[in-house]
Amino acid sequence: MAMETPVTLGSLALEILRRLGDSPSEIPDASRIWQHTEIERYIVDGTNQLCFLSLLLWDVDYLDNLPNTANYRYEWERKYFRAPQVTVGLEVDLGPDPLPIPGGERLRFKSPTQTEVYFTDAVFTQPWEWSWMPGGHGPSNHTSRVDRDAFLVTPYVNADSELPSPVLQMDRATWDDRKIDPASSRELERRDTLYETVPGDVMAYLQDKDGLRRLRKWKRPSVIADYYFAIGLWGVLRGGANQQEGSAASVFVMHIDEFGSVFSGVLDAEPSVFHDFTPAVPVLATITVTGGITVLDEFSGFEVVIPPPAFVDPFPLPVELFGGTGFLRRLPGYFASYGPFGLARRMSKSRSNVRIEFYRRHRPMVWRNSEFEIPLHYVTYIRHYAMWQALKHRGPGQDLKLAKHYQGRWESGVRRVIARRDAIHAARLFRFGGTDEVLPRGRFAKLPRNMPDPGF
Amino acid sequence: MNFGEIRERVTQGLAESASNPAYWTQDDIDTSINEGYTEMCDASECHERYVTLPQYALMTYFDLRGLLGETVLVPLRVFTVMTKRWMIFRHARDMDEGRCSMYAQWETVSGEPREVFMRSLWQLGVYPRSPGDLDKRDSLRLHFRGLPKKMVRDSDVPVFPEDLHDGIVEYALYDLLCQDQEVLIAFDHWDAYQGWEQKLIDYVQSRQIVDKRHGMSEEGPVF
Repeated sequence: MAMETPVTLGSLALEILRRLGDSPSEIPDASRIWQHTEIERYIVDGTNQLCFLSLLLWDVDYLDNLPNTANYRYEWERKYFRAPQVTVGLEVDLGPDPLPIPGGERLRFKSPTQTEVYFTDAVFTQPWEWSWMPGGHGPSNHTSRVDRDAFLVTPYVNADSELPSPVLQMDRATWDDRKIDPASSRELERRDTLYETVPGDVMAYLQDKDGLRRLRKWKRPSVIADYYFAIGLWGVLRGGANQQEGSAASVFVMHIDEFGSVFSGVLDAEPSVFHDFTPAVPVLATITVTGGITVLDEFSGFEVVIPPPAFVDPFPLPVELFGGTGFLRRLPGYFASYGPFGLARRMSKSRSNVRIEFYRRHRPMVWRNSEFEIPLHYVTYIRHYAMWQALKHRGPGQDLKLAKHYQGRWESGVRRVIARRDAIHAARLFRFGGTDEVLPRGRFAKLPRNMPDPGF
Repeated sequence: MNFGEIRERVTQGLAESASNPAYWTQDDIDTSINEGYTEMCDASECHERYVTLPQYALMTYFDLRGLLGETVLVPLRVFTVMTKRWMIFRHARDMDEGRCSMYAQWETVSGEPREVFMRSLWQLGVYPRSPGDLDKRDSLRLHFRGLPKKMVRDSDVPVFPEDLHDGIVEYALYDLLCQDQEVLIAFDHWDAYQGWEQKLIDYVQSRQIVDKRHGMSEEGPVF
């Protein structure tokens, strides 16, 4: 499989400058008609527009049913934390204005000298205080994840959650792997005036009154979701046990990193343009973990045996590791969110947890070597958008006729993507010569029909 | 026409020397030709192929961007090699509404995959998911429409009929002249290209229509 040259933000900007007949250079020069940064801005706009209009990128994330950890109140307090922002294998302190990274709040790991920062505006510690607070979310009764893991006596799980910043449109949500539907607040308040605080199984979600970026679970989760204990101060996900839900035997699959490292003389996986893998013959490493505990190891390359504490599962597990070095790339039963680039940073379990499936924005393109998540032929549409914007810009390079032409090409590209997406869903077909097997409706979370209306 | 002949036509259109172009580099010309080729295939979805997908343990979604070496535009059919059956295309909503499984937690079911569904353009979901890693002999065969590989060697030939190769020439001329700010001439070539593109779309879509008389049933053609 030949590896195509990746198109980056910087290289596409140079290509556009060349096509516009301007000097293709990254160095600002007042004598030029279009500056590199201006073209980059058009490219980023075009990328965001394409994702917004065509809902091209689909993804999965979790709004964990976990107690809310909070250690500051106002946004301005944030800059007084000197928290490590960990990127791929590097510890980078980005100062008071960290760059936006999808799910970035969870990318931070504690270090001995630095403080964890949990983004929240929670201001109260008991559920009954909620009605007395002007804004803010809560309750939050602990300030560190360590408190949550080991010392929390009364765990409160918030009903409302902030949607991850890349979310454009919700596609589906589940609780405990069951589909939950959106409900209107009007419908729920008619049934139960205290629907916001009454705990129970999550049966629906609301998005119509708490803000565009918030999702309220109904009912408020009464059970904490299963979750993994993070061991290690910083780095990437390295290993683990008991990662296969509901199974006593855990098989751990790890593939060599995306650059196709050679292990034992065999290329583990051939790199593709999207840095994923073709199947390769696994090489069993002689690594055995005898303690059953989920491990988020440091960026060390070695498995760490954690003595099983009393509260962790009792079974000692052999952990098979495919490949001896590298990063975790794929794990049975788990969806790699925010892919296809990158490394696993955190894992969530589905049991008693809320999973959301959504269409999202393109990942932020903030560096000149930022690559596109979308296939290259769709990047051509973005090029048309940027050229349209550049040519219609008032100034010496303005050419409205050509700008209109590129506008038409951009619009036809977007239409093509939307039509293709719609056609895929419309073309649900049955087997030739066979019939669609319609099963009777399954059981749903509603009262049996012979029960009287409770008249809430 | 092969790639070399297309290049020759383009250089003639630009009044350039085919062997030693002066104003345009050969890379410029090759890039524009390949872009035209891709554009025609993108618009018409004329390139149909199949590949074998691996099955990983408990994996519901296949990211077709990463698993395949070539670009998938539209998945068409999926065949299970293990059970020798064509999988049924569904919508994820069908699963939730109990049309495929009476089990509300259908995503946790594992077994021999029977049904497939798409999420966005390249996340292919299977139901039930495979309980273990399978090698390619027991895997899924995906038929799809995608983009062909770019032409590199002079002997490379586009995947669609030779009668429509002029469309690539017209696109390359349009693209190169646009870069040269020869907008009016470029637009003439663009108009010509659009005609070729439409011809290819019509050709692809009419393959089964022109000869078709009757529908089909389980027993065969219905007269």
